[in-house]
Parts: sequence; C-alpha cells; structure tokens
Amino acid sequence: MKKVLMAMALASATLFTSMQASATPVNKTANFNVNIGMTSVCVISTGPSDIALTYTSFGAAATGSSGFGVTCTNSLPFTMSLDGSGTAGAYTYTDTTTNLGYTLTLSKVSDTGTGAEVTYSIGANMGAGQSGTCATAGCNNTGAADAKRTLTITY
Amino acid sequence: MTELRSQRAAALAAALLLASPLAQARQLAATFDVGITLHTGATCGLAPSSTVPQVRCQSGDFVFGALLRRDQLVLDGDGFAGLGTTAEYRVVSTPQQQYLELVVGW
Repeated sequence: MKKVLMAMALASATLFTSMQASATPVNKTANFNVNIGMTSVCVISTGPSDIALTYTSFGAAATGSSGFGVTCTNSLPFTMSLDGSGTAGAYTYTDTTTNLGYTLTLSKVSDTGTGAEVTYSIGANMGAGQSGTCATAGCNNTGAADAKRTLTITY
Repeated sequence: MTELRSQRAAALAAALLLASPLAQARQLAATFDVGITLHTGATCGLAPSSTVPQVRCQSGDFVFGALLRRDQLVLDGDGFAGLGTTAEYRVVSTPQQQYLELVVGW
C-alpha cells in the first residue's frame, strides 16, 4: 500500500513539473520592413485671380495685383515664373488689342515648401503717358488670346 | 579595390537618380486674365484769341475758365504740357495751319 501511495505521489510530482514546463511562454520573433516611398509635390492651391487695368490715354499709371497660393512638400524647393520674357521676376508685355505696355512682377521667384500654403502676389503696372490704340471712345482686350497669362511652378 | 567598387556604386546610384522621374523637373501651371480697358479721351480743338477759350471735343463743348497762353506752356518733346488741370496739350502742324490740341480724359 505504501509503495502504491509513493508511486502516485511521484507521478503527481512528475505531472506537475511537466505542466509547469509547458506553461512557460516562449517568444519567437521575426522582423519585417515598412518600406516607404515618397513623392514630393507642389500644387497651386489658390489660383491667381484676374487683374483689371483701366487706363486713359496719356493718363496716370494704372496698377493692379493678383494673389495666389502654393502648397509644396516640406523642404521641397520650387521656382515661380510667368510666360513671356523677363528677368528677376519682372515681365514686360504689350497688349495687342490696345497697344498698351505693362509689366507683371512676381513677389518672389523661388521658395522652399513648408507643407502649408504660402501666398504670393503678382503686381501689375501700366506706365503713365501711353497713347494706346483705339478707334472709339473705349476699347478692351476681352477675349483676346494675350489677355490670358500663365503662372508656372517648377519643382 | 574596395574604393573602386565604392566609386562604381556611387556612379551607378547617381545615374539611376538622374534617370529617375524624381530627378526630373516637374511643372504645373495656372492661368489668369489681365483685362485691359482703354479710354481714349477726347481730342479737342482750341479756339484761339479768347480770354476764355472754348474747346470743341468729340463729346461736346468744353469751356475752360483760364486763359491759355503759349508762354505758359512747357515744351515737352513734340507736345506741350503743364498748364491747367487737363491731361495734355500738343501742337499739331499741318501744311496749312498750326494749332493746339487738348487731350482730355474722362
């Protein structure tokens, strides 16, 4: 009888030890990469508004301005330009309809993106004392091809 | 040898970067209108020898409450400017006559 009891006790102890061993957590690890490819961009988040210049022959200078907003990826450099020929952000045009000359000047020609919209301006100036060409009391360039100007962002 | 490999790798990386679209300049554009309205003003004929010269313009008669005398005008190129509140005076020469033109803006 005593032998039987001892055998049972031994068996229980063995089972307990075995259960203890299987309850110990075993960690297995594996690594993986999070590969990120990023494309930086610029957008003209607020398009330039139209400019209206009203001028009287031989009169005073006419001025106007247009605002626009650019949003670029943080740290991305970009440049701004207008169509036509110009230097340092100042562009000279002669309107074919009225034969009036004017200049457009960018407030800045290059910048670096911040991730938020930054606003810039285009100043317009029509010099004083011009004659212009018009056979009637008033003319305008509505609908003329060269009334439309283009702002370009390069990045 | 290791340095040579490193240089080749750098050259290859540079070539790949140049070939990549990411290295190419990208552009976007927006258009806006520059609307121009030109008012031509009126060309007026100045009546001579009058203390209050009457000027006939395209849109009607203008009467000026000041005496215009040639010696009060300032020669500026081929025109006269400087007297009164109007925009411009100029001399018009033709084979038959010389007269002052007054350009008025409105």
